Amino acid sequence: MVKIAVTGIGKERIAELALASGGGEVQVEIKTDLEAAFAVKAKQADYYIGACQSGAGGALGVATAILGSSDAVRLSGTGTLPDLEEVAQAVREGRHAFGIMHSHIESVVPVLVREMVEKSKTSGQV
Amino acid sequence: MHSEVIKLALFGLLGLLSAVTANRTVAIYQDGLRTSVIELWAGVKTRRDLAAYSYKVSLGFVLVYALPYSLVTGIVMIHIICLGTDTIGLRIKNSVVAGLAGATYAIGASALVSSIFLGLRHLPPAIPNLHLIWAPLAYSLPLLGVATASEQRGFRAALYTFVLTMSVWALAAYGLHTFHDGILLGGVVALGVTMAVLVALALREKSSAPADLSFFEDKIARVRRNWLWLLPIGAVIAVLASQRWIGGEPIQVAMLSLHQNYLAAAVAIFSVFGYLPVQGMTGLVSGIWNQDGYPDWFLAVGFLVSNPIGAAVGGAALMGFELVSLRWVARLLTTRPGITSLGHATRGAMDVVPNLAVLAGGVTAASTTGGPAGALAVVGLYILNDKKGRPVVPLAVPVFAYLLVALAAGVAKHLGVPA
Repeated sequence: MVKIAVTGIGKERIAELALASGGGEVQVEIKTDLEAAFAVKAKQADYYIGACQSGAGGALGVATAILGSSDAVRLSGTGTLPDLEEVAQAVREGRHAFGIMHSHIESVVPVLVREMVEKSKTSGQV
Repeated sequence: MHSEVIKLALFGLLGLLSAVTANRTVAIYQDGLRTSVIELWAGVKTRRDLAAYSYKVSLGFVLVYALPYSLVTGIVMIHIICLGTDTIGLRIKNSVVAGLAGATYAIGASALVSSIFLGLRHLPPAIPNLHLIWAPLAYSLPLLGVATASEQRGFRAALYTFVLTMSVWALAAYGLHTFHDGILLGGVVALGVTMAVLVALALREKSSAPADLSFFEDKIARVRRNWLWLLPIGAVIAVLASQRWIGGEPIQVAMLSLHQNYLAAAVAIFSVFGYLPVQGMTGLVSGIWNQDGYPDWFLAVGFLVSNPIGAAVGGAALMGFELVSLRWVARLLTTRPGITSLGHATRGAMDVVPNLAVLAGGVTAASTTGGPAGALAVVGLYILNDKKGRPVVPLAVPVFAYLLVALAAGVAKHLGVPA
């Protein structure tokens, strides 16, 4: 079971999409950004997904401070379209915290969560 | 006070202070960048790395979010200045050089916005119908509270707050009918009452974990140590706002363009509910503050106090209050999760309401300027942007589209093509 902590603008929608895309293999909790980041740090959650207007601030700012930029990655932002291959690659590279521009939740979250589940199944790791 | 030289000098001062504070890691405007800067101290990242990240995160925000609104109103959105000076201040190692570069950049950006805005005025009929884009937004502002309730608590809460908002609005508008713009003032009262209810509900939600503020103590001390840099920035931002030369986000800029300062102030205060959690928490975990404090109440002071000295005192006082109340805010954000949720919902509402209102306004303005083809162009571009995955912020699309329609109408008129 992959545990995901979600936060930020549209967090309920992120949770819905994560559950729908996870095929019964994910557990999702809605938290504040600080709670979600500390949950990942304490290994109570495997992943963090946040969304905001830039994909960097409200989405990922606190997670970057708690987990470090090597573990936190911005997947989409204002004025650009998300590269879905990069989204999947970020999970394969072992990142645990992801920031998304809220307009891109619908396209990014399913790809992200399916990759998390795939990684968990194939390697037994998150 | 209304002199282009003073305006440029004040923008230069803001650019200088903003770049120096970024350079010295006292303050960073971009919330996502603020916490990354910690890694500069640890030697994990270089100035070049951080400047590159700053540029990457900020460019889209400046080009497709802030710039369109600034160009059509002539009012500089603060993102244009402070996101740019984040990059400059982090990239240049020497504080003096960074400050001078920041000042030059800010003066250049302000002059560019003014020049293009003035250029658009020579493009009939671009400007005459511009107010039509913003009118539905001015009328819809009280719905920001309803949209916030909807984002945070769902449909039923939205329905209740809609009834509350409309009832208070009607009563307030009746009570204020002797005032000029009493109906719009009534809307501000309705928004205030609705938000007071939502804040009270948010404060009732308590965290199960006890407050442990020890994690924040050294960061709070660091932010406070830099008061001498921070207070003047609050003052300068408020002075610029007092002359309607700067705005905090598209809705404020639109309201200023309609000369509705108190509506702009209401939105600026409303945005504090949205940004206090994200700015507060990223500041508290990093020890680095924001030049604009909790966006955008320095600006709100300026919108309400036209006297520049009064605005400067107000802006500096609010920054001082922020520094004094850091521990209280840390406790609030760690023990009251409802406030953070309210922040997310408020920021969401600041997309939901304006997106629809500006689209409606864009269609009205474009059809007035370009007839049925104008309306078609706005709706068509909005749909295309949506289907493409929204590379342009939806809020900016009607503005871009209107400018294209105005340009086409201007060219057609010049060529003698009948409308």
